[in-house]
Amino acid sequence: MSSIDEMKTIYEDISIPEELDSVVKNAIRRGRITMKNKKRSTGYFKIIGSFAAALMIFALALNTSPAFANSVKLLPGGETIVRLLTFVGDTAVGGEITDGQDIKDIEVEKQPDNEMLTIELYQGMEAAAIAGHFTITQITHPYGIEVGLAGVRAFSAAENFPDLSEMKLFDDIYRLVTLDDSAHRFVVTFKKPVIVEVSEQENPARLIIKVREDKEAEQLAPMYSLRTASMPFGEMVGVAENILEFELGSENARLLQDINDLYFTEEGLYQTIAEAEARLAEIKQYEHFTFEMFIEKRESGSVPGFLE
Amino acid sequence: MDNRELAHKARKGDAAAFEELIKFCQEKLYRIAYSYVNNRDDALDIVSESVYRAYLNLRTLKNPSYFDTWIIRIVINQAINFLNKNRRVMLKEDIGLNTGSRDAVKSDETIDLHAAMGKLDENQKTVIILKYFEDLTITQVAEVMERPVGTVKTYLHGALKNLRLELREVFQ
Repeated sequence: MSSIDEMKTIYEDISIPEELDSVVKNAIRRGRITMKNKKRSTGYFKIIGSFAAALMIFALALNTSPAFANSVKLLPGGETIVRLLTFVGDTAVGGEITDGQDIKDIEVEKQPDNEMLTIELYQGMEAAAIAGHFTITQITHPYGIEVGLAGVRAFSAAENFPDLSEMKLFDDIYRLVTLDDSAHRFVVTFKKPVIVEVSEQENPARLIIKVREDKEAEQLAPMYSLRTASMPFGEMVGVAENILEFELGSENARLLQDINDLYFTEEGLYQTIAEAEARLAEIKQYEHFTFEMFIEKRESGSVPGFLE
Repeated sequence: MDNRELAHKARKGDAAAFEELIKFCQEKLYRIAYSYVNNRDDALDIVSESVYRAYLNLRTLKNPSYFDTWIIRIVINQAINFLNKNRRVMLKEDIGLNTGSRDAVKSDETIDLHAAMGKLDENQKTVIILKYFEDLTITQVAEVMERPVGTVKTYLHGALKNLRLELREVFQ
């Protein structure tokens, strides 16, 4: 018998513990509970988010705010509708629950006092009528927005992101790993603080993100980021994000790209190093989170560093 | 119902289908985990965590035909993660390199297998387990490891080279 065969025999003789069955059943039960909680929490979030946005738009319409009135255009025949969305806190939501869309194309345009990014959504071979449910969140450290679209199965635009080298406000655009094959996310970062305006267009479905420099923005203090090491684009950063969010209650967990275009998962931003260290100590107690965590001091406008 | 259909149903959220699928492969998953950590309780923990994660991330499984490859990959990642974490702890405690071998009673053969496998790096170990113990083809091993076939062959070559040196002592 060859050595490898000997090893195989030993391998096959590894005795199977009686508890294996119950261990597996418990793991599935644990998974079902987590999924239920996850569905419940995202469900509430979506309902509250959409309701808040709808209410704000409605209130604005009722009051015939000039800003709203100017941004709503009903073209002849009622084909195209453009609706300005309002940020509630850091977040603007819009779109409708749908499935099977493709983020087909992303284009940028530079105007004298602003820069504009247009996201085109397709359903099959044709432009979609209404965008899928989306969330746009403003972020800092670095300055940017995270765009999340649900009911989207393809991201053709990620193959050919627009060139931002001539832009004065847009700095970078990159895709994030999303452990959900019916959603896609990406981040757009800015070179300086900006005022963001989001419009949602129907027929054809487009999201229009207009930014202009916020000259009155206050300088934000540096923060301490509790984060993983830099990793290539892949499932691992998403797994770390999921554990932090759903098992460790890290509400602000997010994914970002570092200066070398690698990715990392950030647990959160803290004002002091002591706060970050305290949270790090808590996370170390959780045996199912096996990623090594680091604390990185980051200025409000700087690109995250590379950490091995 | 075959595994492909079960995987398809599981992806749609059918927990019973997922449970049935896992039942088919749970012993294999345990043996793979055990080969890395050489400890019953740790191997059970790894299987438990892998099954949990697989359940949560079922929707990321693009093609139900690849369920086996996909779940083996999760187990291997968990096992390697466990070893990395444990290695750090052990180094800190400075209690040697017998990572994971806390079982009170172990047969000589298992110790030999562990000793031989201990000479391989994680990639080489993975190739030997999948190719020779689980009888996967090189292409399937490459799919599990998400590496090109050529790279897998390099790992295999290195593993066999190391094992020939090591097994000479173990199986003489």
